Amino acid sequence: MGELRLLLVDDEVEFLEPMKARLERRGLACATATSGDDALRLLGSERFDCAVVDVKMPGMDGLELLRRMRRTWPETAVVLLTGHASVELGVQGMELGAFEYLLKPVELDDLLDTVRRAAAGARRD
Amino acid sequence: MGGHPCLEGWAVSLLACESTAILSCDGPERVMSGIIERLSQAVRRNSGSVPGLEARIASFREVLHANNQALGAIASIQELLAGERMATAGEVRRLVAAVTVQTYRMISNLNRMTGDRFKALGPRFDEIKTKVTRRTEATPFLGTVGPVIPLAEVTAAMTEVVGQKSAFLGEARRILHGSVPDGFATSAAAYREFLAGSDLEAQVGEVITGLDATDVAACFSASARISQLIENAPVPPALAAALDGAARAVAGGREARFAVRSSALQEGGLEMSFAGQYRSMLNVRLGGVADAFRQVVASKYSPQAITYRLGRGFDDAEVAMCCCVLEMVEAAAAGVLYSACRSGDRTVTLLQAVHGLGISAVDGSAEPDSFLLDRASRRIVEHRLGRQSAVLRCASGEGTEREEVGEALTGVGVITEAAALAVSELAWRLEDALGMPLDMEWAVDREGRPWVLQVRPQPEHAEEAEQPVRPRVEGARVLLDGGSRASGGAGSGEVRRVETDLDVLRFPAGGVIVTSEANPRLAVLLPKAAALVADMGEVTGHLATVARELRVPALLATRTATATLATGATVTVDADARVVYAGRVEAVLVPPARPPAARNPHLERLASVADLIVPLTLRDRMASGYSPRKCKTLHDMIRFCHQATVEAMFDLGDRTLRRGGKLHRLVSDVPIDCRVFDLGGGLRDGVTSDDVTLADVTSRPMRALWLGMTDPRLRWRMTRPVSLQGFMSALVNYNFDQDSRVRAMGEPSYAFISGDYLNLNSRVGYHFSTVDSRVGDVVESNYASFRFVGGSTGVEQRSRRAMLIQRLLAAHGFETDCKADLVNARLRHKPAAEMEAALTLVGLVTGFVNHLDMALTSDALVRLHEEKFMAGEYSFKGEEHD
Repeated sequence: MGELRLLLVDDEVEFLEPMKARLERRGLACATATSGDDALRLLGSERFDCAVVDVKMPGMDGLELLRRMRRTWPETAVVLLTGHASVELGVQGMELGAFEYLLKPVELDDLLDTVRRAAAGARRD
Repeated sequence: MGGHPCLEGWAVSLLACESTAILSCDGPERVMSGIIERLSQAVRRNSGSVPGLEARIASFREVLHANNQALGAIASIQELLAGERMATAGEVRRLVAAVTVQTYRMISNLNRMTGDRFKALGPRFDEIKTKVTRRTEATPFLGTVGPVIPLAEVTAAMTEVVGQKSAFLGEARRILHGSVPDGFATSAAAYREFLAGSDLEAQVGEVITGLDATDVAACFSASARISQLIENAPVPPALAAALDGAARAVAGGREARFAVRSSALQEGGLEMSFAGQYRSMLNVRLGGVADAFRQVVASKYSPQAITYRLGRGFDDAEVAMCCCVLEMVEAAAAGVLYSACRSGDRTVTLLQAVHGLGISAVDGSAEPDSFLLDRASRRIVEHRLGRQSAVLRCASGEGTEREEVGEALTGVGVITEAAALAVSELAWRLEDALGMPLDMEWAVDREGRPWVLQVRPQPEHAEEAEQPVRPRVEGARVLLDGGSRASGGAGSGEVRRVETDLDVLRFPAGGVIVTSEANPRLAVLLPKAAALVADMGEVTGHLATVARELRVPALLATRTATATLATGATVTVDADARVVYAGRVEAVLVPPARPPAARNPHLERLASVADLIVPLTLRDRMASGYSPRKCKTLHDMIRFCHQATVEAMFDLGDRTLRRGGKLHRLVSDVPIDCRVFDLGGGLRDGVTSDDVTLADVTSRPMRALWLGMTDPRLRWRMTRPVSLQGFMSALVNYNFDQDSRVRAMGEPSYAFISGDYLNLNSRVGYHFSTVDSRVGDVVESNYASFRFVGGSTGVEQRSRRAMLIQRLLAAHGFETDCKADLVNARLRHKPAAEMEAALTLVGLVTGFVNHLDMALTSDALVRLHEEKFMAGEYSFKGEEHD
């Protein structure tokens, strides 16, 4: 399937950096963004198979980022990852076209599995 | 389902593929190259030109994955409801979100797969989702806020970031404009910033972990240690500057004073009443706000707060201490108000008033004046004077001071009736705007102007319930007569006078608390007390609120309890009759005064949505017209989607897969209808017939498992073999077969196999099982994973069967875990021969436990069956022999 290109978007740097390191150890190419705007900038210049997006972020929240991504970069799958479980936001995310809604804390294996499934789906579409 | 003539047939019989999400067994990477990957390869080889096939397979896979996640969440919900673990707010929220979102994923993938053939599921799902959301969630607040937010910008929607107190007060300010003091809120971000500044979280966690709520001494010592930690932690400079800046903005150059109150935040939006257990700092000068903030944060760890949270299932880390900082109102009088204190008649408002600052009204140190006001006519229907021997005021320097006034204020009304009406008027305006009965703290300043200091939804138990009228017991000696029933019921025990912390530590379980003031600190004792009696205090006070929540009988404002009830004496407190008897008076003690344990609010929340989630009402899968409209619960929808997805997949299978000769029926002497899909190398070369036998199977894991399942020593409950030839004719036969016992077994198991791989899904009756395994020469690649869930009996018996499976597999070297009726078992990295033996064992266990849940009516029978199996008596079926 080739090397997976992943974009991690989360305003919590303490979460972002260790996660990037762990994912890279497992063979993924990871870029990080600490805000929605940051993410859009990166998406404008690079191609990603999948983005793991925090729902709750200052400025542009995860759902808004998802909305824009589906419009402009539909080939990049979006996995929502949140520490604030919510039926409402979860379903809303799915309606907007997210691939999956994961709850923190997430097992690395589960995240990896989800990202691979999401990317495989995105490549097929 | 026009256009698919055989689909109804499929629907009734169908092939239940349970899951592939056993995936965790061996790392997801491997799984990715597992079943689905192989399936797509096989499909690609055989029918590469079928459009959308791969996408359909991907959706199929997602449905199975979501199905597993959803069923796992349901099993955990059942476990919590059964009381096997303490429910925490976070877990309840996670589980409810997981099951709902995964159900939605199943629906959308099913529709993607079938070109929106099941669109009717959407509205049904929305209905259920809306109800679930309404019952469990506050409106989510998506934005983020800084550590400090001016009150003018705070709205009710911010409950999840600033806590309920600040959120409601911000909303109240919007509604009432000038009648709420100016101020600001500190958010959860401020709390986290403070903790992070001194790395407190880990240190606090260390002290809190493993603490027992009923061990009062341990809670006291934990409280002391944590308070020490917090007092030694400086407020980070940036945060201190933000707090100071916000306070200065409120002061606007004046010499302002502040009240810094707790606004505890239960993350996840579930409110906690926890009345008055946290600290408020009053009359704080401009430069002292940061320090007051720290002290309020420290009060999160008062002994009673620790006990309360532990006892009610709040995760320490989930409670963030936010503050509500208001400009201080120099109160001439203050108090509490319940806007709708009478049940059945929402028009009666209860207002209580004390001289000076309002704390005396809620900390039980005074007996306030009471007003009952009729809302419709704006009239006072009752005005009762209280009694107050000390007045709390703002000190001239900082903080508060208590002035002993003796009898000077006795007989002097605290406020005029006009003032009582003016205060109530504010409450009624808020009640109208917010649409709910309210619990409000208020003050009247020296100029006679009314202020709202705090407002929250009135706790449900604050309404006066229909009070049982209980006659005095003839012959029993009355020690004390009168007082206010703060919490109903009756309790008996030995009297203990409790005033100091030492008294608290020495208080014996089952004792009767007798105290002068109804101080909220005593809440720490309520979980172990038989009853509470106090000289002072009022029904609207904090201690009374907690007593009602915990259902501990409480009699307050008795005036003479400490004088008449001597430590060591056994007494019976009948709060309903407002009397204390000498000795144990059985007549009032039946029925038991209260349930043994405090209710857990999260569990109640979960129970309130369980009926929308857990039950499986689509019992009769044989009925035709299996319609989305029949889905009453999320479980129904999960079941429906699963069936419909498999159906759609095998519609695909029939048309395209069989063309390549890949789909076969595995015939044997046992009544298991097993369909086999060969991904490559799973069957002997040259096999072309629809029916195959074990002799044709070359898949190592499949052979091993099947050997176990078809072991002649097993007694499968159904013995009628499916005898018709051919794949389709089996279906036809099936449809005409009215024998219910065969019908129960009639759903085929479905296996994907290759030379070294097996994924078997089966649904027998009401249970589902999945085996996923690879067995080859590379030891590191070998694994076997088994999952079993469900059954047709009650959860207790199903759980016993799950426990039996767990024990049998654990005894043979599997790693296992078991949640309610769900068992997961894994074995990996063993040589092929060992893996094969383990799979044969799984087959034997599967056959052994078939329909056994009905027989497992006691734990002893679980042990008996365990022994029989271990002794090789595989035909043993307990009392179930027919």
